[in-house]
Amino acid sequence: MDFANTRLTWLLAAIVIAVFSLFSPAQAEPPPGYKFVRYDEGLRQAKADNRQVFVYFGRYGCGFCDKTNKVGFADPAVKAAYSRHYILVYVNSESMDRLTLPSGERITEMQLGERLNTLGTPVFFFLQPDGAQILKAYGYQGPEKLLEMDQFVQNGQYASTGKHQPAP
Amino acid sequence: MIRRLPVAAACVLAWATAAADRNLLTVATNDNPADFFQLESSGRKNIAADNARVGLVWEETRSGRSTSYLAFKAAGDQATFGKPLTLGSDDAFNPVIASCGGLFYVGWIEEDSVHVTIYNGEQPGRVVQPVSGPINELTIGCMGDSALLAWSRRAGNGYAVEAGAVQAVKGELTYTAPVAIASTDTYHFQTNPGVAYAKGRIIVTWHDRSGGTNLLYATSGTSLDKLDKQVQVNELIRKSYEWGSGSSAVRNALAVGENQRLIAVWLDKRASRAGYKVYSAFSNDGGISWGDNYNIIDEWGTIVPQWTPAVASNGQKGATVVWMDAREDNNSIWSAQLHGMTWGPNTSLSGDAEDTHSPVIACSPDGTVHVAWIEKDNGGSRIRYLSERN
Repeated sequence: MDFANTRLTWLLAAIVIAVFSLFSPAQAEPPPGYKFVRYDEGLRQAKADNRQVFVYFGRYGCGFCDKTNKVGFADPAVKAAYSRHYILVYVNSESMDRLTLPSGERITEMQLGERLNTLGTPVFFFLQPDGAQILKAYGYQGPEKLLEMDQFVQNGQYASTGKHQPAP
Repeated sequence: MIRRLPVAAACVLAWATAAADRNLLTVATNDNPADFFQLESSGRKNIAADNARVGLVWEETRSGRSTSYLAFKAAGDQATFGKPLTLGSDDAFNPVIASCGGLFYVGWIEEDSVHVTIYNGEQPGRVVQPVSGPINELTIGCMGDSALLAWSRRAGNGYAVEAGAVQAVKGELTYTAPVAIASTDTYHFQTNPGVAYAKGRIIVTWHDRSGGTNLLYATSGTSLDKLDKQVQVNELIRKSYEWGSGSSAVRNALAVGENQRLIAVWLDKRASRAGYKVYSAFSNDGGISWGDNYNIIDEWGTIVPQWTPAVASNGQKGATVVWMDAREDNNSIWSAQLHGMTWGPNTSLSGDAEDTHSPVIACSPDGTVHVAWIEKDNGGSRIRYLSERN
């Protein structure tokens, strides 16, 4: 195969991928470089792999989501810890895309926010593999706070608080 | 000789007055904890009424699949809802209904396509599919005795809103070709459409977040093939000039009020720490221009978020908005009445029920207000219906 043609093909492919990634709803809101999945997919994975879940409930345009992405999640230590410890779930709080809950109920992502009575965004949830809630945090989270919450969950400190809540 | 002028039937609730004639019914009951009711559609068009009948459409999900249903009730307090009729044959969701010129048009999404039929009595007409493709949301409105439909579909990695008209001719449905309401080159995430007809113009409202946050737009024109450029309806409030893109507007619903004035309501994120508030705007020229935004939520409701606003008017005096919030701890249905250009105080509709949500509303030409919602408690869930004739 002609080398110049191969290079041109790869270049065109890279441009197409770059253009599509700009418009991708899946990549527009969670911090870049993290492997976030849908809520229903994440809960299924967590149960199958017996892993804890980190849920990021965000809104497109939300200032504190933007700041958490660019300051908190940009920290390499945060990225390493969260990618290693959790199934990462992102919920677009204004989306009308439908999710299927473990109960079999089908609701929109926005309805999930209504169920959780989210006052605003961002809201972060740490869940057990069965979906039970461990910890909930509102608003901007810097790298120190994100690492502190990770330690709290990973050390099992939450078990002594008795604040387990049922899954949404 | 004194000549009496005809009095316009107002589409408002008068719960506190003795003149109000209220009627509360259970439409459907579900004792199986694995089955779930849904009253969900774009623009919240799950209920419609003429002076003789009211029709309600809803969805039940079990094991991740949906079945949509329709039930009718004759006007009058003595009547109850008839046996639910199943819509479609497969996974059918987002059912919508409109009463246009004496016919009930019913639509839903099934196999990624829009399905529509008419009900004249209990019998459905032939089902037509005006559009196929990965359809995500559907709404409906009236244009004389025709129905207007608008939907959002997957378009590449985003969404596009399209609209079309459906008309019953000698009992058979005919439909127009779908029309895009805005360029997907500029607006990549067009969602949550509403549709109405006023002042000789078709109006489609929709949201798009391509500018960095969800904004509410209206596209209008004298016909679907003569749509003007969209205008922005909501006021964008920048909360920070360093982070984010500002307040968002989502989940709009539309009604046509007195003198064919358009009433748009939506959830607005401009409040700092208390979630969404219900805001409104009016258009007196068929959607060409929109006025200031007005907050519908009174001071008692400012501390909690509001959800799922729906609005109805019979085109005469007044209009009523309903939504859900938990200002008194339990999820409850709340309402506000429009008097002229002013929204009245917020009034609870669902009383002491443990958990009520997902309200929908319609208004008959005679001024009867029809509201339905979902009620949940340890005994299961049910769809409740309430009407009031002033």
